[in-house]
Amino acid sequence: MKTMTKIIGCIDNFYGLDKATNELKNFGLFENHVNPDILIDQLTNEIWDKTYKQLLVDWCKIEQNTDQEYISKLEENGIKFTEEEIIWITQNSEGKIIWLELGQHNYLNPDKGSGLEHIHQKHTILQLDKWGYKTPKQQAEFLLSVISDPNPIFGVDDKGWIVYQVDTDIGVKYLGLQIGDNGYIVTARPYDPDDAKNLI
Amino acid sequence: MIVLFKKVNQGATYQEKIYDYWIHGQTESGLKVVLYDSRFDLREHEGKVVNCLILAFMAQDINSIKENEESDPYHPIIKGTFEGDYNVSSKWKNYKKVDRYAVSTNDGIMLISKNDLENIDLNIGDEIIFTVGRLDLLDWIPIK
Repeated sequence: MKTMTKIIGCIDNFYGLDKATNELKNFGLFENHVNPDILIDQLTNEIWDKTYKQLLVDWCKIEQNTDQEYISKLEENGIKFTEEEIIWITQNSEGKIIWLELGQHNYLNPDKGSGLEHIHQKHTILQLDKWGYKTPKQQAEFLLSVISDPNPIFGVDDKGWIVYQVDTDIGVKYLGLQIGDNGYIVTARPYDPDDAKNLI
Repeated sequence: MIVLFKKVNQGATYQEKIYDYWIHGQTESGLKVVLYDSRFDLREHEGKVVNCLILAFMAQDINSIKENEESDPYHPIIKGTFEGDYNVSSKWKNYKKVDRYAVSTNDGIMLISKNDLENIDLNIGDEIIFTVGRLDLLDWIPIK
């Protein structure tokens, strides 16, 4: 009981008591045969993950005057998004609302994910870092500058990769993006310049 | 290059749509590699041996990296002989013709972008060693 009180108190700090109760239900607290050690492990991971995510969002977030207007448009169109994890939201040169969320990265399955965390985890080392975009914050700023650029898209390949020609500190490079139909940035990666030139 | 596909993982995924894959494998010489697949979906070939056409994408630290330096399967150290211009065989049906160089390794041919070798003094037959940003899978052929 002492352990449970500690857990509830701990979760309450992060979620509030109502949500804490639901979280505990999700972890099977009210079912039989719950192993308290496993429960504590799961809850600790969960709390760590949420705290880490919040820190990352706070660090990378780029607020703009138009944020509320664009968020309202997403809501009006019934588009699902996680407002507290939005890093930035903008409109591209074609008037489409595009947004970057912190997204998903699963440390148990580190190849899978979407959004800024996925881009950072999968396409930084010896890729975006070589262009001068090493941190998630730098990458978020870079992606915003690419999407906000009024220059037209360089090309789109047969798998839907939208290719942008970008100026970096080390010269002209090509960036491939996958954007969901709703405007969510799924992933971004350095795109092979030879393949890019084939798109023309 | 012959690669045993040990595990094919989903990569970028959103609303149940999968946009790319990461193939964890091993070459015939025992080199552990992770191939980036933005074109195919080879999950059905997990556990199988596949002939792969691979691009050493963003080849770097050319002839400055040491063979025994720390590396990982996503960015392995590649060593071989510079072959210069290379005509990719027509057996690679999905390959889009692009002028690239090739490096002959213990495991076979690996393509490399001419841009990456722009300022490097290399002659055909020279030894070359480098690491990569990614190993991009350009095409594949099943081995029966």
